[in-house]
Amino acid sequence: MSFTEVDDLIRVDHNALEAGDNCLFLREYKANAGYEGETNSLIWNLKKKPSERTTKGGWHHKGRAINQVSRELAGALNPEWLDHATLVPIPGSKAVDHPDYDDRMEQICRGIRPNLDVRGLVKQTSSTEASHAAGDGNRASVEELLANYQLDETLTDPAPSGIGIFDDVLTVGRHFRAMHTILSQRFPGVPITGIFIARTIHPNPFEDIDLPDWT
Amino acid sequence: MQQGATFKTLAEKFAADKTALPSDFVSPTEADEAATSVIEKLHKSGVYQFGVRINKAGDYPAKLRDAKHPVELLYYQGTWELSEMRGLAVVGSRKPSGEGAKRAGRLARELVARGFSVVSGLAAGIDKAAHTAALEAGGRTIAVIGTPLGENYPKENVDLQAHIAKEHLLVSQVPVLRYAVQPFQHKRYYFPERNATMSALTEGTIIVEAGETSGTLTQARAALYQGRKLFILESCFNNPAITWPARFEKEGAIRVRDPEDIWQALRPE
Repeated sequence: MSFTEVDDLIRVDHNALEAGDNCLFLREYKANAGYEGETNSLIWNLKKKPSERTTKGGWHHKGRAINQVSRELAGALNPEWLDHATLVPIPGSKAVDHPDYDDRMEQICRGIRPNLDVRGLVKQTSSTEASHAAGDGNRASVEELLANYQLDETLTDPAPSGIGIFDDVLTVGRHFRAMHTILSQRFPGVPITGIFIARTIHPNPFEDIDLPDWT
Repeated sequence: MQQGATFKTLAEKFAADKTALPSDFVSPTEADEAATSVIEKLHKSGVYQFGVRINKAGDYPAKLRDAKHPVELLYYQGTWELSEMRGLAVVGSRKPSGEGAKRAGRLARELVARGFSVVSGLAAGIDKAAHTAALEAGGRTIAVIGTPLGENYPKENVDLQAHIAKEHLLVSQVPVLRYAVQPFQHKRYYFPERNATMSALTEGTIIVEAGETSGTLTQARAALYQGRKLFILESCFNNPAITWPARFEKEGAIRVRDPEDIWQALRPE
């Protein structure tokens, strides 16, 4: 399985992204389609909440999904890039002290292959509602996300020479944009690539439209 | 698809270079221009929502690689996940007997009851009967068409195609730009090509009724080549005017006297 690049034709679907943003994805996640289909089911399994480990069934699917995604990324990423790149997982919506704190993206990155430079360079200072669970009107803006992000200065040495920002689903692109902003300020000139397991597609673009706040 | 290229020559090109993508064979500018023209052309035909599946990218169905000349790119409209369901193709003559059309309908209902998608080619006759019966039974149906998205053949199935594109799954491997400039007599060659893809997309093909020179037999050959089950209804064997049923049975096709013969031959859930 190879990556597909987010080009001009696709970028319009992810309207927080900017023209120069370099983003790659493997699969297409269909909005409002539940867990029907291979990709949707994979993403649902990845997003299972730690607090529901004992109350809801199917927790073991989460571990399986994490392993599968690590394998798919391992097959698609350039091994030479991996040799020198710093892999930065996007922090989950819950801070470390929350029962739903979820480091799935970090686990996925570490599972790609041994001895990678995986660094949780950006931490979230307080818990927020998960984007996929929040109503469209309640999703955090890039500025709000930035206010809640903190660079972990204890992890900045050595400075990265290439950064991959890893997230499961590319929807509007706000989390990527916020991560990109904070990382490019701290490490100017270092190439940054967004790497996603899937991008969201809207089967009917007029349903579930992500309207800006001023409408 | 460039002038002179066929699905066969393209498949050979890609077989010779395991990492190649369709856009690797032209300059990035040409690839961009072609993509833009395709989108413009599809918009003009009223197709605003569609997706593509490209070999080696995510969500491309691995089962298509079993075809002799597998497609590198296809277009779709509707619910892609239906391609991941278990499915069987129900195909046959464009001018079936009354009994043939009824048989296609009965089979489609049987497939729906078993949770299989009903896959067919949206042609007149058996195809139409199969799609329609699947819809009436509340099942899922996939149409693999021999025209580009937004074009119809035959005209009588325009509404059926629109409904399947919106609520079910419509698949086309037909190159949009090439098709637009081809003479009419060349366009018909896409129909047998799509039969091979339809077969690869499914666990098996059921032939309800077909003449000695029918395009349906392309799908029969493809199914056997691809290691798919080929089912032939008993009534075909009783037709004195055709010799193909016995020929395909010798090559491994399964004679269907009762729908149970189909379920026996398929792998269990």
